[in-house]
Amino acid sequence: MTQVILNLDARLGLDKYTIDEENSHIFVNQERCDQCNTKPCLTVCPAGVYQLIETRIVVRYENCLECGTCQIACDHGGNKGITWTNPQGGFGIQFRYG
Amino acid sequence: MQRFDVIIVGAGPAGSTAGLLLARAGLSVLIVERGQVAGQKNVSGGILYSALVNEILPNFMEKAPLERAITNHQLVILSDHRSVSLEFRNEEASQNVYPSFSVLRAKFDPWLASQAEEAGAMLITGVTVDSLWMKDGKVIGIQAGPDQLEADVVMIAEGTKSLLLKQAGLREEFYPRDVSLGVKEIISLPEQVIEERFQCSPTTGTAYTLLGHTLGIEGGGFIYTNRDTLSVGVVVKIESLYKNNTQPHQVLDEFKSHPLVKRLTLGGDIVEYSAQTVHRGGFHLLSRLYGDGFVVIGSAARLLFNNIFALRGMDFAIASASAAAKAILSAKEKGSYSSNELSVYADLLKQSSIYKDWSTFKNTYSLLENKRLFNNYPDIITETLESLFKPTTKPTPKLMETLRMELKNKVSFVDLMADIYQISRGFIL
Repeated sequence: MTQVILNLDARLGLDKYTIDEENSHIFVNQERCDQCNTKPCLTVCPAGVYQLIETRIVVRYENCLECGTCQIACDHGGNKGITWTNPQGGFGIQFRYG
Repeated sequence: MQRFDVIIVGAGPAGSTAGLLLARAGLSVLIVERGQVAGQKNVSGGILYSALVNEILPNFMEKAPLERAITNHQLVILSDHRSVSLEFRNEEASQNVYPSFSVLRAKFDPWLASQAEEAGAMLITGVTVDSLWMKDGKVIGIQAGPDQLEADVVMIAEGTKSLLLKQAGLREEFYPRDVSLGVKEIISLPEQVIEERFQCSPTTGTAYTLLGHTLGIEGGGFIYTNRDTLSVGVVVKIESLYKNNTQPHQVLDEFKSHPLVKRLTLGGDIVEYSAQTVHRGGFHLLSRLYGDGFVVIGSAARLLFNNIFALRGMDFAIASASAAAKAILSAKEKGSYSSNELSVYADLLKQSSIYKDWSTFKNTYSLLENKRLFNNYPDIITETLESLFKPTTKPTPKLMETLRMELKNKVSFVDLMADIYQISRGFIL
């Protein structure tokens, strides 16, 4: 018997989502992000939604666990580049245990 | 256009309790929930304490889908591969001791929402409220997509993110030093394995609170036994994560790698990974509770409590919903839902044990800010005890002498005295 350890993507793969294919519920202002030195979003998100690809912040919104951490970290530890909204009704994460 | 006496945003413990109480009192109530079913967006990082809940929802213990009654509490300090624990057990139910329970929100919340519906509240799910509908500085309803719905009073029970109030400019900012992130795994294990491993019966269980082994990040870990799963996670301060450039799942991995945690989770399959923000509680951080045409209940008002021994959120949510419902009924009698009438809600909360507990344990919060608690003391405490439990070939000194050696180069005398004072002010004296 061993302890099961999964990497982040495998963990996210366990979760159930109804993905809104057309609309992201997360908006980033790239100009603000360009001027942000700390970029706390890259660190704090438990789902690794924010990735720095070359110089741009790329948002994998479909993995979002809807915890709200990024908004708080960005507003006061970053450069207010993130606007997080609730996904449209019925979309997003669907916890089966919670 | 259909008009309601009360519109409630969110069908969590706060929203559904308010809906139940107000519908029962004869008001027309609409509860709007953004999940496809109630509970789908909700995550618990705590246990449900029954004392306050039982006053408001009598017999909930027999009817609600609860996981296990928590009869065993363990407070554990973790260092590298050592641990020190304080275990408390009470396996005999008595009239004066209120049990607490592990719960899974995807089961508990739909049950509570169905109770509200049975009492006559209308529940709509899969609908996101986009904004509060305001007129002359007063909340008069909600906006959800193209629909505007009007109500005498709107109850905001949308949970920790509290987006509606932020957007309407009706709440202060939330700062990363005051909010933690909880990340949790649900780990599946057969019931018998849980009962053997945690030494409990088919209906009872254990709650672990663990300090240390979190990569120096301020926070702690938890393990709760559910019926056939474990809830295993860490709660870490958001500011501490980005200042230390540490990702939350790295802290969870570190926590799970401790031999004690490993042994407790062995052989279990991870079946869900979840995350939720947790506010630091306390009245100095309490959000605005009411205004013209609205009240704020549960986590949206940052109604949480933590004195290390007990982390309370769900029972405060239910108690705040009851206080707010009483205020709304008294406002209805007066025929006005202005800020002045709804202030009764804050008065009721101030008279409750919630405020008194916040006041009594207000110094515990500064203790939770103390980095030495996470970085230095776990090693010092475990190594000091090891010297007593594991004699070597050298003479064994008395406890104080070992402690003095352990403290050397780690914590100064002045800091130690300050920390003892802080711990004592936190929850002893």
